[in-house]
Amino acid sequence: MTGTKVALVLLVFIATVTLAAPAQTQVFVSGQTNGGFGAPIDMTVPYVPAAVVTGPATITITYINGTVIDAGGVDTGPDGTFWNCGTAQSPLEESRGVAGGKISDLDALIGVFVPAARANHPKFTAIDGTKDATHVGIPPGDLFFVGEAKTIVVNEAGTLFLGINDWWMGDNSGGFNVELTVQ
Amino acid sequence: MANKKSALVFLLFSITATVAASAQTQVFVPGNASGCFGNPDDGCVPLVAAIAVNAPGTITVAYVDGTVNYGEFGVEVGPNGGYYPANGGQYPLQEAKGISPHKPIQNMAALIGAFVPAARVAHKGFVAIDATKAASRVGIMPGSVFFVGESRTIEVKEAGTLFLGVNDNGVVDNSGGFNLEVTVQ
Repeated sequence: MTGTKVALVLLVFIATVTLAAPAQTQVFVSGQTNGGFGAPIDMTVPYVPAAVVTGPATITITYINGTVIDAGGVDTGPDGTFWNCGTAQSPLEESRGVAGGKISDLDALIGVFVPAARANHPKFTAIDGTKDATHVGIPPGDLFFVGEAKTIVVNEAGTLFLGINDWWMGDNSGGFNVELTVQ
Repeated sequence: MANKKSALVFLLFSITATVAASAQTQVFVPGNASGCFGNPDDGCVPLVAAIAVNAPGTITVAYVDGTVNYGEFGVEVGPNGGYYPANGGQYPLQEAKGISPHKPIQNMAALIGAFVPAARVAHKGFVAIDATKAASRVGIMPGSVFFVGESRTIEVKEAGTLFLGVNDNGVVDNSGGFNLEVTVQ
């Protein structure tokens, strides 16, 4: 009887440790991943699904290596770099409802968490939902800067998508390798 | 001394009454005021500034009269909008939700609104149009657009301006408009 109890306690302990253990994965975010955000755009490359959670969770995004190469000699890490947009609009500007002028985060790593009800819709595509390019898309107001590292707390099931803060992608190359941890 | 107290009480009462007093105004929303929301948009007519509040308040929009023709000969719709096949394109209320189902809609040319916080409205370069098209330095986020219809009351938690428009994307062939009464308390 005592042996059975010990075995049971051990089993519960192991199960708890398994549930509590963080899930870890790595993804590559191509330098052309604009998600169709920003304006004007020359192409639309859907965001990369980086982590799926089935309920409330803490997601940590950590840059590993890689750079994005862009026109004008840009070769930047995930924090992005200075650029004068002129009258164009970067994805992070679109998320704030502003456009044009100087930015300090061109080609930065950016992200968006999409609730499961939207992400799992059969006609969902991980691109800008305001441009009539998909039946169900992503509202721009949800985008956020990630940079070298960021931790977000989500209150529901859904998918974290990652992309690049640029609108004109035909002249981009490279990308970022990123590690995701879910707890 | 008693007179001074009375005067002070009266003054305080007067101030309170002024703050609590409601404001009422009438506005006309032309049938082409889409705010450049929706896709494709063939005409960029800003939304109409209906009323500004300088503190939290309750805003009520009530339809008075008028109809909109959205380009279909002989078809006039009221503020609740009308049926439209919508086999293509994205309408402002769809853009607000980040969807574009290309299915018939029941609120074509309906009266819509968006409340914009004062800090944004006061920003240099603000224009009351879609902020996601790089068409203005500062604009309105599509997610803030909502259906108004015949009447709607909204509670706002900060100073700002209520803008009104119509739920259509191609507006160059639109005509008519809605007369409305807007009250703030």
